[in-house]
Amino acid sequence: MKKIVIAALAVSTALIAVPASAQQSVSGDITITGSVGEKCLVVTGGAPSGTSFSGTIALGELSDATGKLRSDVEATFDAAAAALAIQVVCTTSNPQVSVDANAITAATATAVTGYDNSIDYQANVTFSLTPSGSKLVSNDSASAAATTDALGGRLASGATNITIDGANFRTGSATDLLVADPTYTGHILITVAPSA
Amino acid sequence: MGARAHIIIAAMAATLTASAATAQCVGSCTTATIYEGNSGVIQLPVTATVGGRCGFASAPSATLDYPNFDVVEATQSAPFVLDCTGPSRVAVTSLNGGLLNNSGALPSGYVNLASYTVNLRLTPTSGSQVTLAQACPVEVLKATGPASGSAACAEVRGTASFNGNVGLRLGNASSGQSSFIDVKVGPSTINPAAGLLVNGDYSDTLTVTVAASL
Repeated sequence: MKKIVIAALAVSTALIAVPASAQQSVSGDITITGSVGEKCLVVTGGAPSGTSFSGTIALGELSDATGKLRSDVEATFDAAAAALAIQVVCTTSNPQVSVDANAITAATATAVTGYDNSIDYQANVTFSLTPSGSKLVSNDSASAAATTDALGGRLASGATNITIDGANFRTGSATDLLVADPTYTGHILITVAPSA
Repeated sequence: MGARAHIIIAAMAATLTASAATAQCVGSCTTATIYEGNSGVIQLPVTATVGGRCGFASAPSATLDYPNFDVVEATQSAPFVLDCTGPSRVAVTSLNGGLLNNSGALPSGYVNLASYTVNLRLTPTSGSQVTLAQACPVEVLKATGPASGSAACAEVRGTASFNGNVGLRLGNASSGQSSFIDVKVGPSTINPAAGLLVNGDYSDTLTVTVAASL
């Protein structure tokens, strides 16, 4: 008599068969987009502080003992300008700049022959670039038009990158006496644009 | 001798008759034995586990745009719907580790990669929504060469796989419920110390995966 041996199946609580859908790993994609516009910002204390900067270059007494324009006014101008600490940054690679110097003029006093109530000069503005180099843009107050130019590179970041000095301070004639006025005012307008 | 033979045959016949209707347990009793020509009942225990169904009923597929993100901050959410009959895990990876502008080499002080944050909100069919305690900086979710970050964010990064340990875990089933991936971009997510972002268009891709988690 033959006997037929049937082995019982092993009992297990582990997964024996799993539907394919339970192992399914499905994916989806989300696209994130954004933009940074062309802009220039003034930086103060390491943080953007707006779109304008200002400063005062105090020259004090403009005349010497003879009443004429004192010879060391340029040195006074440069020393005061060095303390301005101007920093501007732009997101673009070739910002456009403009420098427009205006004469230092008496508020009310008028002048006659032999006298002058206005001082012309040349403003020199130097823009520091990265990784190295700089761009000098100059404008004389006697010129009605501003001087514009492209920097040709990115403004250096992380420190003061715009410096100013003056040159060729003069009256109409070297022998002119400056008329008395408690207030002589001039200004230098510097514009930095992200592009032309 | 002939009388002796007759007696033996009779005994064998009686033994076989008694065994006709039942299976005999031989040895350890886990092995059933049925003699040829006979029938019996063997009980074979069979157990199995159904892992459940898990995927996206509606996969995340959106474009989230953040114009002028260097000065304007915004949070946007991309919805998706899970279809999981049990627990699941949802994982995320970033292609670029941030919003990237393909501007090439840049001088010192300028950058073309901006960080943002990512969070998940997983909604079960019943119970509380599951989310990360803190949103993850996207550089921690970069698919290759990620930055170091919290353990929770490191767990979210990658591709979810069946019963794996990658991804934010939702302990309950989820079906027909809206879940979300939240993306925040703006001045608070950007690191100004890294440099000034150059102008132009930026982009990144987040890949979201889901898998069952037993």
